Amino acid sequence: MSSVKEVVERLAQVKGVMGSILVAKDGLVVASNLSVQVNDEIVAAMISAVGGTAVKASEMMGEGKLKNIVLEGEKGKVFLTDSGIGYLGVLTTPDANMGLIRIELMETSGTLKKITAGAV
Amino acid sequence: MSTVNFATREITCKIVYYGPGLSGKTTNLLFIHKKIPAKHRSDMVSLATDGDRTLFFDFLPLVTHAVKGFTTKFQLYTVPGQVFYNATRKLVLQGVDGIVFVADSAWNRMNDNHESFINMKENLEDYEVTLEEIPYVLQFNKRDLPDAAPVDYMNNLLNREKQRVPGFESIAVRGTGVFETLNAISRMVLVKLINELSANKEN
Amino acid sequence: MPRHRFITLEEQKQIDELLRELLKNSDAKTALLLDQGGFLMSVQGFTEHLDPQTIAVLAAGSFATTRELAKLIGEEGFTVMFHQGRRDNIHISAVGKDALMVIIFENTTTIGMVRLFARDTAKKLDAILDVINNRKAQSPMGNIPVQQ
Ligand SMILES: Nc1nc2c(ncn2[C@@H]2O[C@H](COP(=O)(O)OP(=O)(O)OP(=O)(O)O)[C@@H](O)[C@H]2O)c(=O)[nH]1
Ligand SMILES: [Mg+2]
Repeated sequence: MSSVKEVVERLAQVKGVMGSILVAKDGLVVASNLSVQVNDEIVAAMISAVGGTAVKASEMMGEGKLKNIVLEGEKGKVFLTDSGIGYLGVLTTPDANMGLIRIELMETSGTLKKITAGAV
Repeated sequence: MSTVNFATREITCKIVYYGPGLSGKTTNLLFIHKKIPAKHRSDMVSLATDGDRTLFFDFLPLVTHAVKGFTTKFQLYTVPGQVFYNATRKLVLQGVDGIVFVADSAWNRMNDNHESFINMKENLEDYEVTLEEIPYVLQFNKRDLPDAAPVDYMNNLLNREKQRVPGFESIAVRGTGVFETLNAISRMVLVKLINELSANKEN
Repeated sequence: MPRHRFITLEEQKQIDELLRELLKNSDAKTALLLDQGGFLMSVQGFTEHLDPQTIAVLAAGSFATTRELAKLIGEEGFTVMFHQGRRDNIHISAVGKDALMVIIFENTTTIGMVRLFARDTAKKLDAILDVINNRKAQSPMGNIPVQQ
């Protein structure tokens, strides 16, 4: 079976994805494959802040358990999902295929859960 | 707490050198360390202040073959003797199997010896251990001092528990009495371990 | 705390195996299991130029110090200690009530990863240690002859 690291890194090979990262709920990087221009630790801290708020917001607004978060910026998008062991995120180009990326994130989440079965 | 490992066939016991500041606890370990044949010697760890006063502990692992079929390891620790280090001193006592109480023979240290002994009993009490159940010996160190107090006097002062224990005269700086003390305590610890094991077996 | 502790062949194997699995999963370099007094129960992984026994004693000492500090400020105790070096990092975490796990890892992995798997390993180790620490009599030990 692949390692957590390999699985997270593999995400970055999806078309349109520029980097991938797995962040523990408290903001610690578990594994990442980001380009050198961004600081892993800052990205991780932001992701856990955004993720935490969004999870709570979704619950309080009666939308149930949060599935995905998308941040759209001028220069690209960030996709986030709660993978169980932490937030799984990808940074993409502006024109990345959102459907494809959602599927990849879901699949990767599933794989991570399998690898870390019992670890959470 | 002694550990018996059947996989590695090892018995491990913890021996602590206790006593007032500057009584010679670290000196005991230094001498033992020096006498271990180079090829069996591992490093001695000393967490000390700049002035060589023990801050937390000294640690010296010893490997022997005192028990047939088992490698017997003794982990020797010293405590910091200075009064205000009681928090760390107590930590070192945790899980102790045997104690060497190193007393300073200088006349003007008798009070310190006595206080340290009382302090040892109190700290042991916090771990729910009494001197009746834990093997210990006394070492009257610095016998070379011109004003060394008589051994009888020191015995009167420190050896007054229900069970009298062996006392050893020593000059730790020269190594005199160091191994006599160590041999005695390690034997006592092992004999106790083995007695308890056989008692368990009969139950 | 029990007065004596007996570790069987089978238990030692299980402990060793759990630590090796942890290393594999987390990509860490070396893992040690010790009791809070610094007694070493297992070392796995890369040990060249390392003195595991001394590492164990010092880790236990520093964990104990931190625990006392915690008590002084009214905390119950910290369960994880982490020291970051230039290349090597040390992660010390509590395993149940009276054991510790020391994990040494390089910057090729992350503290998040180490912590993720350390938690799970600690749970499994604790279950084994529980059996060990509650064992009283041990018949095969019967009479060990003390040599003169
Ligand atoms: N004259 C004499 N001096 C000794 C003897 N043993 C130790 N000393 C000296 O006493 C001083 C203190 O010795 P240590 O071994 O450091 O004392 P300690 O008990 O470890 O002291 P703390 O770490 O403060 O608790 C040193 O200068 C030793 O050289 C001895 O038998 N005779
Ligand atoms: Mg000293």
